[in-house]
Amino acid sequence: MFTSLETRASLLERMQRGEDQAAWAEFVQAYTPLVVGVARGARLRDEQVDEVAQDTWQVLKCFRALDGPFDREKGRFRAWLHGVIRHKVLDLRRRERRGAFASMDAGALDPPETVAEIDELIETQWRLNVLDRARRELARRMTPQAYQALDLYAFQGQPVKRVARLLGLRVSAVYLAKTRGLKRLSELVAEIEREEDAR
Amino acid sequence: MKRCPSDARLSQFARGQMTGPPAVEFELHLESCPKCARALAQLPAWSELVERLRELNENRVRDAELVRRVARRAAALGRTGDR
Repeated sequence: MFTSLETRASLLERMQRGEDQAAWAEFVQAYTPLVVGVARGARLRDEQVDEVAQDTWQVLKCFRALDGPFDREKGRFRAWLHGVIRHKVLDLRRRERRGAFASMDAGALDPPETVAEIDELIETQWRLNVLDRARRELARRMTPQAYQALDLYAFQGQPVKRVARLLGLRVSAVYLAKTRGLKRLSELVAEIEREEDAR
Repeated sequence: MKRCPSDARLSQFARGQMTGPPAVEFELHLESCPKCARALAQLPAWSELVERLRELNENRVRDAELVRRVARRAAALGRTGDR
């Protein structure tokens, strides 16, 4: 896992140069939930979800061997990854549709998912992925007790008094953990988004 | 900060628009004032973020096994036929 927000850019560079096997594994681990979330959202089957992911990483690997596609003159990593996922998901949806309507005039029908719909899906999952990374970073930075209070009260929606009793805190301390945690989380999300846009 | 801040100041803090010494003073006040801590925690400003976090939790739980399986295969891809 990424150990800090600052290490990710160098992780990308290391992976791009093919220097570090661990960098590849960590990178794939960080972005797999995004790929799976998009493919699931496009209502693909499990084996198709796997196909989207493997094809995406295969393309990434090929580009890596050609010195990588991510230098800033050629375009951002985020836009590149979106494009690869979009292409593969659309391809599978179209194939799926051709199979389902093999006996009909499929050409006369619109595909069930347009490019705009897939892009919206990718954007939503991208934001969730950023939020997930920010949350993991937040958990690392808060005390375990404060993070647990935030998790139980804010994320899981448990009653504040129950959370306070469970953790041996004052009710106001639970409120405070939520306020501080969500404020810091918003800042981390903004920080990660700025970094992603700079890639 | 002896007196409780106004609702507008609470919102300003929640939106991250208060920084430096005023923000530090504000946080100290929160530690000793359950009323303000409660009001701040229940501001509608947080609701969208909390909703997205709950959606995230549901997705991650639902997809956990599939993500693990896909990530394992992808990690193996990085080890084979490199460059």
